Amino acid sequence: MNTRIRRVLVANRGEIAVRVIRACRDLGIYSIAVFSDVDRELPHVRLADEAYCLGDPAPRQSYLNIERIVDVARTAKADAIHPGYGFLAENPRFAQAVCSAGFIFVGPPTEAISLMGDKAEARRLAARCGVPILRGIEISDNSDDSVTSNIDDRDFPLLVKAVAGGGGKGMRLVCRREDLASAVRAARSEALNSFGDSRVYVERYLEEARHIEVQVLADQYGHTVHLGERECSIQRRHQKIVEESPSVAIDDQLRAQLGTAAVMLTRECGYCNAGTVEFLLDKNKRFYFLEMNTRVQVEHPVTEMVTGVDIVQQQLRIAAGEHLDVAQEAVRIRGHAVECRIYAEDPLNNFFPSLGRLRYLRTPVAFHTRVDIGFDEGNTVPVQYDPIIAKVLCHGRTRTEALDRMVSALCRFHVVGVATNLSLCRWIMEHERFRRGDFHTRFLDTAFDPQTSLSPPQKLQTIAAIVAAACSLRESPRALTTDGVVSAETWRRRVFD
Amino acid sequence: MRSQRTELYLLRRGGDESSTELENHAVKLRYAVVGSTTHKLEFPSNEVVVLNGKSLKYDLKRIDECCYSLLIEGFSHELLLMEASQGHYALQIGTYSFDVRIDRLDPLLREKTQQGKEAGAHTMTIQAPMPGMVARVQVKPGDHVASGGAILVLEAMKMENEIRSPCAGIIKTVHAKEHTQVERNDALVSIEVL
Repeated sequence: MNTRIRRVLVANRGEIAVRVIRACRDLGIYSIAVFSDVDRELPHVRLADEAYCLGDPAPRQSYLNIERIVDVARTAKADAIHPGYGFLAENPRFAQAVCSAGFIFVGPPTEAISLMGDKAEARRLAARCGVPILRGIEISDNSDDSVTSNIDDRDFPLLVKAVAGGGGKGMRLVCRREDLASAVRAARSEALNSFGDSRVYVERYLEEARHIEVQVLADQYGHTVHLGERECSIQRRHQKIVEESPSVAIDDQLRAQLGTAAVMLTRECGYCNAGTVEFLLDKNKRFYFLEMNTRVQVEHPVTEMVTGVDIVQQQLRIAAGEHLDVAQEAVRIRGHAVECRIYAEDPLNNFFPSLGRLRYLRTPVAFHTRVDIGFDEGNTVPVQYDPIIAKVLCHGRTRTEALDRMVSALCRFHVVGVATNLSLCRWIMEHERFRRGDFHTRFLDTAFDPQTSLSPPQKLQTIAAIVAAACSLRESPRALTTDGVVSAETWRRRVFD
Repeated sequence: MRSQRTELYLLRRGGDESSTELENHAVKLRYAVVGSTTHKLEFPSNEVVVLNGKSLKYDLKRIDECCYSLLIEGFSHELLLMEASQGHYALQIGTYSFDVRIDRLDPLLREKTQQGKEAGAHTMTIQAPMPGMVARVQVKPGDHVASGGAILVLEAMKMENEIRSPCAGIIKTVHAKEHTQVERNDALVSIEVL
């Protein structure tokens, strides 16, 4: 590593902050963490060499506060700022502010972020490059009238999406014309709240499509490679929960085609650093460009596991002006990797966040199992941010081996204090259709029934009965009750009341 | 080990009014309701549990704050006990969660007795789940209560236990008086089930 980057400020929190700080450590780079008032006790604060408080937990006052973060970087004499994902990662004003203040932005150039951040612009670029896109309906002045009047009855079902979108926000699926106006209004208001931009566009909705994305790396000298694909079709509320690499739907020929398209788009938009080009794959294995994410992805570790390339380390090296030392011919996909995102949310209650103190926390340790986690036992999952607790990753020589390892790992992930989606992840891992590779982006909507899918085996019910009865004989209820702990049922009631 | 615990337990409670508790300990019979199934469990010794009439060799050890190890007929299970209060236990085995209600009487039998006592089939009487002092009565006759709605607070073993309605209904009679002692299974309120 050359000496242009010696001190990196990590403008994020939780598991991704921990991930970036680890990469800094590996490279001998000094790390600087930031935290809001509610995050003082999180591991990323302790893991970093320095840490500064951003103040009020409201995102706008803390992790979205550009001026404050740049100020901290000045105080801490940082050379570079890594934005992680979410928050300011894809905000061109932030990248600009970082560069103007004389710091290196660990990410793509501002122009590339702006271009790809405008989903309508990005579609036009893809079309110019000859990359297939879904038929869209251009909306000239972006008024509600223009949206509704340009749409034919044959265009349904369709997706209304935010021009500045991401993370499933500002997105609505519309199946009937009479629902269109209200969906546009809802998408606009969500987009305005999330991105400060109310513009929307309309795209044909592909039924039974798979979500496939390609990881790319580009250095400052035009050397661009792709690291194969990730499949992220298992989603709830348009947000991914299970990702894997490689995809069962992709063969070598299709992989090469997708890779070529992704590399071409990356070059065309003047990209540099790590990025992800997202595609939809239809039933007939035709692919369509969706969007480009100009940052490190939550699910980047599945690619790391099958390629052996440390993506975050590459981000730092590229930002420091190093030549990319990964040749396309040398990229090999070895075995299979799968990731489950562990959220503090209740799958039995419409995936509603379940927030509170992690009174008890044990994570799996096993061969070919990796846990990226941003919390320790005793920490609180705060209400202000995304309720992701951890990512569990398993690698295997085959997909079956990786999935079997994941089931073991999920069973050894113990959390008390909040509800989690662990049972849902396990249900997916064991589902016969998921095992066969027969699934698409609406898999959960169609196959998962919160009433019945997660009911435990009869034998385990008797085990639970024996232990509860034995405990009731042995100890007074007082000794077992701990303050501040409430059952999932009570939480459900409390959150809704 | 158990006798030591019982002693400690008695000490903490001042050694008084414990005869009922002790008797129930001596009986070592419990009913566990999991989902819609009721299991009958007897514990003739520390090593044996009789589950619905079937005798099984078992060994339960607490590993840390929440983690328990159960060996049963050679099978090994790891469990998390997440919450325990007033006969209610929340457990986790692997990725599965369980809510278990523990009763010293057969819940089915109790229901029948209750139904027999009531004139109309649509009236339900809530009984005291344990002896204690009625700290607060939160309803009066004629009040509507939702399922899970607060009925009264029963103080027992220096803990306030909120008694909630198992059904939605209208309060018919309030048997319990504030600041009076009630025995286990004493009628607290009668509810007309809606």
